[in-house]
Amino acid sequence: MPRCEKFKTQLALYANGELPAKQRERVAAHLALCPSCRAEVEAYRQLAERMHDLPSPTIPEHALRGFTQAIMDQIAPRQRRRPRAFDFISHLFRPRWRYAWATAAMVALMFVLGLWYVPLEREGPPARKLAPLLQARAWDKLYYGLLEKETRALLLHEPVPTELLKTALVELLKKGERDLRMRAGLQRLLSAVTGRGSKLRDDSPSAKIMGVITARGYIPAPRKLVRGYDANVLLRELAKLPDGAEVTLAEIVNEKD
Amino acid sequence: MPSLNSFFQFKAPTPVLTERAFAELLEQQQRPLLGTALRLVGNLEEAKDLAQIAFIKLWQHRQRLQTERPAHFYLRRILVNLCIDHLRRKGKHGPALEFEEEFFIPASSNPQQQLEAKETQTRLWQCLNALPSKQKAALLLREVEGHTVAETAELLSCSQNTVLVNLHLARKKVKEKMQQWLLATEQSSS
Repeated sequence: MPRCEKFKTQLALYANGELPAKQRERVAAHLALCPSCRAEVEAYRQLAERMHDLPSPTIPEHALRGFTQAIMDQIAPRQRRRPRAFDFISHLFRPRWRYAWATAAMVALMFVLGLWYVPLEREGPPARKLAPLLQARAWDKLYYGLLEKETRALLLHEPVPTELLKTALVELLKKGERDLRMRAGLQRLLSAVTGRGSKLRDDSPSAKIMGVITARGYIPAPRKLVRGYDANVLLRELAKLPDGAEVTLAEIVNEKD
Repeated sequence: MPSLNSFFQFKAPTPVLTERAFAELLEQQQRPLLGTALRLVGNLEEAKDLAQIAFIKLWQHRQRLQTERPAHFYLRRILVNLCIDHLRRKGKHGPALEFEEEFFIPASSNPQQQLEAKETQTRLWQCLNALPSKQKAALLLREVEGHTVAETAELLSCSQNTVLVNLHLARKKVKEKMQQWLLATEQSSS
């Protein structure tokens, strides 16, 4: 009977009262007509009764002996072992410290790389005379001389022939147009003269970011990097200078400051 | 709709199962729990182990218990899941399921009428034990232990429809086997 197939899966549920009301009515209507399905429902009812009548298993007394104790032993808090002297070493290598170790390794690596960039201390006393420095085009010596307090005043206020200062500075500026390092050196020099630049020993990238370690101690990086003197303004100023006179570094720079 | 106030109100932490409550639970529930385990697994030693594991797991995860339900509900749920896993593993790797009859069939005085009923019950247990673990668990919880479909679904951590499907399959199989057996016994007696 094709209609029976439709209800086959619902008969067991019907017999146990697990069907929703609507479906139950439909199944009941079908059962009124179909004796084979009625028989099946009856079989399911019998099965349910039989299962309901199944006695609950008898648990012998010996099975429960020690049952509670075994559980209580398991859940009892474990005795803590006495700490030993070098326990902290194994503690340091627990997984929860892995990020700390990774961070420490990174910091150490950055420190080593930073040391790589630390400029070397210059050797010997700073030069005291401006003219020979300009003639030799010894820009780094001039720069360091301007940084030192005792030589700075000497260098700033030493009168030199205008031609010398002009030719030397123009040469430096022109070179600086092509040579990035030279330009950086010029900026450094000008900032040393005006006293507005950073007081760093070096313009290396790491020095700008994290400061420099020198023989005198740690010099922190400036909060805001001061841009160097505008080279074009300086060129214009230099062109105005009359030839044959003597001029000091302070004079050129102070006018613009 | 809950107001913002009640939304932000501090919610008291759920009370944790105390050691005393656990001891009481252990006292009250060890027998019924062991019974359930025995029904599902069919072997007293294994049932004992599983029931103990269920208690220990309940204690270990007591922080995660919710207050809406009594603790013995969680206990039973843990046990049922443990038993199903156990049966599944055993069915895969171990020998055929053991069945210790002596715990299931009450040893009463043996008048002739009771003998038949006893035989039927033994056969029924054998049919139940031949079922797949989920179907067996569903049928036992629903029919033998008398839980509702909704309760069975929660104990088995599945939907009610899944339970109904499992029940249907299990009943069909058991019914067919029992009918075959009854026919065979009738033929042999006649």
